[in-house]
Amino acid sequence: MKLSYTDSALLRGKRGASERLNDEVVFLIIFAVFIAVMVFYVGNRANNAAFWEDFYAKELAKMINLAKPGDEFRLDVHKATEIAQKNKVKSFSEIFVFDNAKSEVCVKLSPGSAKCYSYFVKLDVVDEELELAAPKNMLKFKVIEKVNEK
Amino acid sequence: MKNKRALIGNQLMGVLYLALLLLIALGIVAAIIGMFGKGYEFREAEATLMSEKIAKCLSESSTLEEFEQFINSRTGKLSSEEKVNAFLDLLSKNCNFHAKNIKEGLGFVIISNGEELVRWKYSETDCALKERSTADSYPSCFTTEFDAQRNGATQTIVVSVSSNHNSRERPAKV
Repeated sequence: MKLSYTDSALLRGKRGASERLNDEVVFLIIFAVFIAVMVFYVGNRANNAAFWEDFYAKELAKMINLAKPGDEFRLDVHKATEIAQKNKVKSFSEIFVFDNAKSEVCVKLSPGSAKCYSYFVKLDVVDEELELAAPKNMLKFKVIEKVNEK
Repeated sequence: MKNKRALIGNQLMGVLYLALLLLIALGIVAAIIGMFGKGYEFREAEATLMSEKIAKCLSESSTLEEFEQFINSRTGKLSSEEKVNAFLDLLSKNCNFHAKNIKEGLGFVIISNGEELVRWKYSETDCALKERSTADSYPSCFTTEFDAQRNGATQTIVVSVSSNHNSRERPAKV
């Protein structure tokens, strides 16, 4: 059946409209997927364990470099414990480790490797303790003269 | 009959749209890597801290006098490594510094009245380049100067410290 000019024009218009609608739907789906991927990526990186490991290790080393024997410290480490918990670190006792033999402090906020930073004074760190919910999670430790220097 | 020009235009818009999304994604990734990728920049703070600590040690202890006595007592020329080790041993004895960690993590030069006493891994060129460029490989530097009364005269002591010290990864225990 041969269509009149008007009928075929209308039909082309309808086809054009539905094709445009299909294109829009495809673009919207691509955009939604893009947003979802970006939100996931940014959310993942916002909890950047490597950066915070580096931060805490260096700040702790700075505190020890400035310390004198007998000084006691109490540091808010709530953020570190939150990140470690999110990353499923097995125990809070693994987060902050003071190695007196090497004079360095290691911070671990993910199950993988830890970041270690050495300090430049001959002091030992003793009595380290993580106080939970007091009201925030706090790291306590004391520095003393180096013991058993080689 | 389909309009071929419209089809091509449609396809082009689709490609441009994807290119735009890709550009936005790259921008976001680059911003995040720029903010969080490099770690915590601490070298300038460390160079400042250690320069002032070492200067305080030299001004309040007899480290410089003992060091000069050591150099004068040795017959024959001392290598720069021997000078550095002797100086660090004195810093360790008089001011409780950790000689091995300082040797690994810092550079320094001590100058008394314009005369260089000891130097370890410190380069004025690298310090100047660090100030003028954004390159990460150059160390951060800081200089502390003070006047000391020694041998009945005033001497100007200059303590310059450079830090290119960074954290190390400790692998996960197996």
